[in-house]
Amino acid sequence: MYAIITISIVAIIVLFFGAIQKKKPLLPIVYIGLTLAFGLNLLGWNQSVHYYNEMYIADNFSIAFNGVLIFTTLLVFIFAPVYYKPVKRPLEDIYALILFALVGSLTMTGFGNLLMLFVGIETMSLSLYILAGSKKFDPNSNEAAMKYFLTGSFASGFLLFGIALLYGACGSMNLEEIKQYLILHQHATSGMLNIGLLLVVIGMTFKIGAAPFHFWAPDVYEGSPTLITTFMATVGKVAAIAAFFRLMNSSFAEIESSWKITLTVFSIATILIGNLSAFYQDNVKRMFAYSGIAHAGYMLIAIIALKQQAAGVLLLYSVSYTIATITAFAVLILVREETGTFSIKSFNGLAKHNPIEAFAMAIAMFSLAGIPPLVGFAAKYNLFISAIEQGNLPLVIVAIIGSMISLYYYIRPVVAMYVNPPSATSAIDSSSNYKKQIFLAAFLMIILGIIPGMIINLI
Amino acid sequence: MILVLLLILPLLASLLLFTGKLGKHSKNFALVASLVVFAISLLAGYAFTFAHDKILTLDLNLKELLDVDIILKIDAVSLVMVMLTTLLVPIIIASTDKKENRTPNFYALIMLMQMALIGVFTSSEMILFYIFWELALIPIFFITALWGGENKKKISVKFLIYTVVGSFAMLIGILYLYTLTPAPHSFSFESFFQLKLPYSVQVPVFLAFFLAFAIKIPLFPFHSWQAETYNASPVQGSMLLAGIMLKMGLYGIIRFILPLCPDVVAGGSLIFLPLILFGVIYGATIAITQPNLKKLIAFASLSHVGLIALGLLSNNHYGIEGGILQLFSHGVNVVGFFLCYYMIVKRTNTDKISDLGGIASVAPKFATIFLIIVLANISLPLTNSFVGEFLILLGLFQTNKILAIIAGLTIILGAVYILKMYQKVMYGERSAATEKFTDLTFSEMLVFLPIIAMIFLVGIFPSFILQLLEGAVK
Repeated sequence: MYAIITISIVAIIVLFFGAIQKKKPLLPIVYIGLTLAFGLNLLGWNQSVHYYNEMYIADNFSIAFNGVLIFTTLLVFIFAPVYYKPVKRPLEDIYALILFALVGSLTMTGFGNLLMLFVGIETMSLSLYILAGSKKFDPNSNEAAMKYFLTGSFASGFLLFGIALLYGACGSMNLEEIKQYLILHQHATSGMLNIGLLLVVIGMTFKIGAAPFHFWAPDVYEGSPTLITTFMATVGKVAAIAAFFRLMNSSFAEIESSWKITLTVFSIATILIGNLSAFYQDNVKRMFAYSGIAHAGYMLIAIIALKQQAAGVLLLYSVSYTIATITAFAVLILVREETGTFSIKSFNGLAKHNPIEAFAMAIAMFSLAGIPPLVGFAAKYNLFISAIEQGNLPLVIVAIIGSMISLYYYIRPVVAMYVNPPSATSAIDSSSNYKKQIFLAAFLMIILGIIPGMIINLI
Repeated sequence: MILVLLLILPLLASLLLFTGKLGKHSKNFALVASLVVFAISLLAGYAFTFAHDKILTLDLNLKELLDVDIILKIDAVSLVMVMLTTLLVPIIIASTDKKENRTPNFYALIMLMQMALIGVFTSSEMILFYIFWELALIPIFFITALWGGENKKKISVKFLIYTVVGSFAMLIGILYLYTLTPAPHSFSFESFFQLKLPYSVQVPVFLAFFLAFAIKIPLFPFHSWQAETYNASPVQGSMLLAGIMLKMGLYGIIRFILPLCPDVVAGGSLIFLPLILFGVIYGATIAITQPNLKKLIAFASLSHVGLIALGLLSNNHYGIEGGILQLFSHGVNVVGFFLCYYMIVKRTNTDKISDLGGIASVAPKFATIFLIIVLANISLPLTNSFVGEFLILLGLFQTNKILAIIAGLTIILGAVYILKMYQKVMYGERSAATEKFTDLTFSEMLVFLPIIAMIFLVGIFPSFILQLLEGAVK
């Protein structure tokens, strides 16, 4: 809770400094604020405090995920000065909106009431709609914002309608009370409840960008400014999937037979569609959009294989996905700066002049593909285990086939970097700070791959 | 402790090399490190022979932290494989010519590969095994992709995807078996071996594992990556692939398919043995017509490893013993063969058989060594492969006479392609390419020494390995 308050205040301070046209203190304030929030967030560990009539629950699940989200945002901000180097104005609006989106996502992981879920999702989404269009004079960015807004608000409508129906059926929007209601009525659920649940599931599926409600993702990811895409693909996705998990785990676990098949179908479709579409992309940014869709499918497996340990597995998967994606995007930003395109060719021969960046990118790609001993493998294998223990072998087989397909498109940038002759004659300039961050991320992927148990057993 | 050292030392050496601080000394450092690892593996062999239950175990008890039990074990089969790895890696490193100017990363990747291979052969936990199995792929992929020849990009990607598809099939098999283990589920080999699967379960498990191994070995019809990859790889990469990495697949057959699916192996021999046999004959026949030396080695190797697989799957203890012995011998021989190839290419810049000739008249030392290696390859008595192939054919004969007779043809075919090649390359008129062929230098002879020694040692005195294996095979 304190983390949310801190970040909101930091966002307002940032807006204030922007209003008086001070550029210099903006980023330091953000860094300090986020670090502070990260610490405050961890203070609540093992205390499980409920706020405001169970509206918000700060248990270990939400604290762990909030830690990931805040840390990821911090990384995004560290990459910001490079991305926004040519821009002269203070950019307070963009920074503040990112922070507000973060506040929304922090609310989503710890909601105890369906209303709070909706508030969190809307806070995040509204900020993201604007951020997607923040490159004002770029038609692609405008298109992305418009598409995202129209489809997103449609999905929010579904979600809200579903919440209303659930309220009608159960008489409460509190997660715990819904659970109690379902325990009493688990064999005779009303049609209203089932429809409400379905609508909520559809709304959430849209937010995590899983098939069959994934159509917005590629265009929005491609059109948005790359830094914002990074934020959307990591924080936005992880927050939504954590909220989804919390919703299903704390309220609807009793009637899992009524939604499990739907989600299994969604998951299979997502994995196949995401991976097969990414296969054909020449544009790396778009490829990551599809790869993000595929990973949403994998994360759905954690919800399907619901049980106590699945939360830890989902956390590990989120961490692995986030670190790898953010590293890949960081390198992509650099490369794009130099070559001006997102085409896979722009990676040609990167290893020659920028070995650290190329190394980190290769590690990220192998981790996303799930090659041992990186964290991506540890995450996938734990996910598959928890699914298979619940008797979901066919789903795991599809997921593994998806991984096979994914290897091809993940390996392409690696081959381009290491094997193809360089197109640029000199190294791409990047500050040593930037290099350090990228290297740190690559290092994390290796270390966490060796000791994944540390994260899984956390919650 | 020995087991940890075997894994950690190559890894540390590799990390140190990756930093690039060693510069020019990288090769020497890697050579010394790999020799130290070899010495440790000898120590492990020494400790093994005195261990009362013929097994060295190490359980690090790190389940909480790592989420994977680290259980390392060396039994007789592992010991043979570890010995093979640690023996060959120094040779491979030493063979690299100074003129090639390899960067430190090259040696770092070889050391990383060694670590992964030792991991594969010693791990006694399924997931650990799988991790090492996949890890071994990454260094060889980069070795081929970075230092390879023509078309290296396409071929290395094809190789990577081919083998990973197989591995993923195995992963499905592993996860499936995991669910069958009694609760609390476990990935340790013991719990898998105690399963006593019914026949209907053995078949899919067999298929999942066999696909992974058949691609790795490679067996017909999954061999299409092999000749290309050997051809595109730098010669050290080919040695790693043919000498050690392919043995991973055969090791997998011994380790998993035989104990997990005994009924499939016993009952299905007429389904997959003819297929493998076809690959054996096919490889040997194609080798006869190969115009270039490296591809000839590739197809000869295809034929030889197929024969080993036949022995292992013959469901007969002679066949299995011979197969394991031949694993070791083939590793040594094929690396020797590649070394000879490398000596020729280094001096003449061509590996087209028709461009070569008359080398024997200028390089008698090389001619002798090449002849020994070549004869070992066609399993002449007194050389190492004679014992192995003889046992394999004996085992096969007891299982199915017709198959054994057809398999015996490979020895004749082998003599055809090998002797034809040797005659063309070494005798006859000297060609433009071989005009200035110089004989081996002292240091090059030194590299050949362990190979020649192993050829005769195993050929004349095979019982020291066979005795080791006897208990394990049963």
